[in-house]
Amino acid sequence: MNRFLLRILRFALPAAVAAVGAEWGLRSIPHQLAYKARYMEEHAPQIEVLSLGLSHAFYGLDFHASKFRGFNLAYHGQPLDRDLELWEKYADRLTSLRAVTVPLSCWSIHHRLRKEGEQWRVPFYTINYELPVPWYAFKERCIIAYPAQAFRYLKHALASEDSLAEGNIPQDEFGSYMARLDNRLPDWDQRAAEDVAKNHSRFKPEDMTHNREVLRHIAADCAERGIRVVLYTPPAWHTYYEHLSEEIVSLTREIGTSLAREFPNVRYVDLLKDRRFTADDFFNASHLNYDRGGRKLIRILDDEIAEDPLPAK
Amino acid sequence: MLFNSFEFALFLPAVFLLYWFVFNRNLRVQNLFVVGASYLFYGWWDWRFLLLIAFTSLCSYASGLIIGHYRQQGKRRWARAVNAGNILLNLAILGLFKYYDFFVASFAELFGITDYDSLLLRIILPVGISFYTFQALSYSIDVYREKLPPTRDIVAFFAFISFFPQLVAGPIERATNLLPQFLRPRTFDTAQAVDGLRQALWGFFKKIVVADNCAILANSIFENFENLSGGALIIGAVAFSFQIYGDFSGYSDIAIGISRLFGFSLMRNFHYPYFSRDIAEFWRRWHISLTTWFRDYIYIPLGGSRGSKGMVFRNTLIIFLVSGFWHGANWTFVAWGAYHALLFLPLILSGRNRRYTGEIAAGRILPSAKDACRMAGTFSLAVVGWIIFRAETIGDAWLYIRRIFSPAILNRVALGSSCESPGIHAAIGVVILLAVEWFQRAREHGLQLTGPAHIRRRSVRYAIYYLLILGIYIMHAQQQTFIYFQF
Repeated sequence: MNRFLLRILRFALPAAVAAVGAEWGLRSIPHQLAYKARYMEEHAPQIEVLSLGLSHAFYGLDFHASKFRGFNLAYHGQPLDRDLELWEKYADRLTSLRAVTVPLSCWSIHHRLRKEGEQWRVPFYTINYELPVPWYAFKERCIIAYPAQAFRYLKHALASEDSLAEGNIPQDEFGSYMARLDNRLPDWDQRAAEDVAKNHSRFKPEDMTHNREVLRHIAADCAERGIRVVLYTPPAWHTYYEHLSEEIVSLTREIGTSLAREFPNVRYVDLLKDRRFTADDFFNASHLNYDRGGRKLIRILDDEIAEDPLPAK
Repeated sequence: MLFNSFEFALFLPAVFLLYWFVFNRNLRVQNLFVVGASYLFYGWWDWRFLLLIAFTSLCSYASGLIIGHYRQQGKRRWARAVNAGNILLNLAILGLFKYYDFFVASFAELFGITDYDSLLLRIILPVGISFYTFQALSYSIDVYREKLPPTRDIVAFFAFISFFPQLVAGPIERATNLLPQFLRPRTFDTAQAVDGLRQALWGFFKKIVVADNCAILANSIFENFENLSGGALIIGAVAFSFQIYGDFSGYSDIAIGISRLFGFSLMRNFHYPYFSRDIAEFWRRWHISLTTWFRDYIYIPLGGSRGSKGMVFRNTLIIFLVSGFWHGANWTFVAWGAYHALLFLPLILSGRNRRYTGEIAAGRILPSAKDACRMAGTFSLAVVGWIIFRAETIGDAWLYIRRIFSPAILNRVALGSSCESPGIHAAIGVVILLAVEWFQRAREHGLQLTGPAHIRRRSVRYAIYYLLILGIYIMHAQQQTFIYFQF
């Protein structure tokens, strides 16, 4: 028996050392979420506008053009339930906060972090924001649990590519991804549009119900703290929104308007087909670019935040 | 608890160490520990159904004692009545949990009754109920047939029914094989344990790389088959064929391998069925524990193949229909059984069902052209069967098959980006699976390293293990439940 256990140990040890080494190596690559977490730790009391959400907010907001001191806590594929976790982590420290902005897109209203194909993002949050997960939740703690993504992450880090993939990609000091118009792919309007819109139109009703509750939770907490919540359906190019199902578009609107009716601190703006946004404002069919569209959007949101001030805290 | 889960990765070493180091001094205590560990393993899914396993075990245990008592007193009729009672009770439980709603719905639809919702029970199907029920039945029937004496050791009997490696998806063990192993002390055998680990590793590869990647491909194709080309539908059917094989034979390999760690020897469940040269050979190699169960407890008591051709026809048809129905409460499973009966009947009626009993291409590296054609033909027939098995309804299966053989076969194969990576991984996995199993076809399992001396060298062995583990790590897909859990 002892011989058997020794053989197991001798076999497993190199594999275990390799795994630990790989995880340590991957964690030592600087990550954008680490920057965001550090910024929040250091500057939370000075932030006036906090942007939550996924890529629609991460790409398309330039806080340099804002009247307020804002910070973009949004990130690629960041769903509403993760927004809530981050909100709960930092809410008490956001003493100057006037408003929270949340994109209500046809994707975000039914997107979930732990759903198939998206779980690989979880360890990056756990590690960088030091979010509590059970000790045995290996897949929520370790980057190496997702080999394909780990390899891609490493590849981008080694090549220092300015890539859209998760990882070592540029963001400004206010946490926004700098998706510049110059970097846009030549076939941007066809490439993303139809497939993405169709994918965004497929949803499970239970995910939608869950996310509505998450939004209600954030809205209610903000109401108690005297903070405005601006929900906005981000602008998109016609090649994208023409392929969205009518059902998903109307459900997205319905969630926004019903929350605005229910909570006096919530405002909802639907910018999906807003004519103020032209082709040069987009990075691709469903995302604004940083340098033009992002500036336009932040001014529109600023107006919403500035209107009808809420009673003092 | 799933074999391919983190909980199991903690559970197994803990149980292994406690089993051999703490509870090994007393056989009864060690068996009691097996029962406890097995109930924890099962209860991890839903503890309420532990009562059902305990009840099934208790009934069969008591039946065995009573049957043995009557047998001793020469009261054969009473013994038969108790055996029949136990069989009926077990089948009633199985029927209630697995088939009740199906029968109500089928009956209502047959007679055009629409308002039958209130009659449905909508009970969750207890995982592995068909497996442990059949295992329990084999005990009381074998005691009645005097193939083994009734056991008085209730702990050993409970351990036999609930033994965690094979509790939820087999192999369906016979009391004559497994129960005596619980009644005698086990000694640790390093060679057995090491080979058990190899078999489990091969099982994990089949499950995680082959089955889970094929599942993504097959699911996406079967769910959208009306809009896909014939070529895509063929890919879907072949993917499901490898999914179900990788899934179920992978589970069996893991179960047998883990059992060997604890000093138990389980029966073989798969013998490289996709290398069969006809359907009769396929059925001698696929889910052997179930096929032989039906043979011994239904087919032979019905008369087997001894009577007239009409009798043989009837018995064969019954066995295949029951086998189909065992898989689940859906007419597709019955149709799958009927389809295989249709393929098997000409062979058995013409006395050609045992043409291929030896090793395929014995002593050769590659099969002859004839054997290769036979294997490809048998595989194709099995694939058509899997379409019926996997489809939601018989109508869907028919449409699926019809669409393959329609002009749609010429359309471009477009499966969408979500299938790209699983498709590549599945293809690599299937090629490795077929290559390894072909070269290992004379051995018990794909990773039994008993070949030439250079294969047995530590450096070569370790390289193979590390490559497989790396393959599992790189090519693993979204975790899927084992298909046979639902049966």
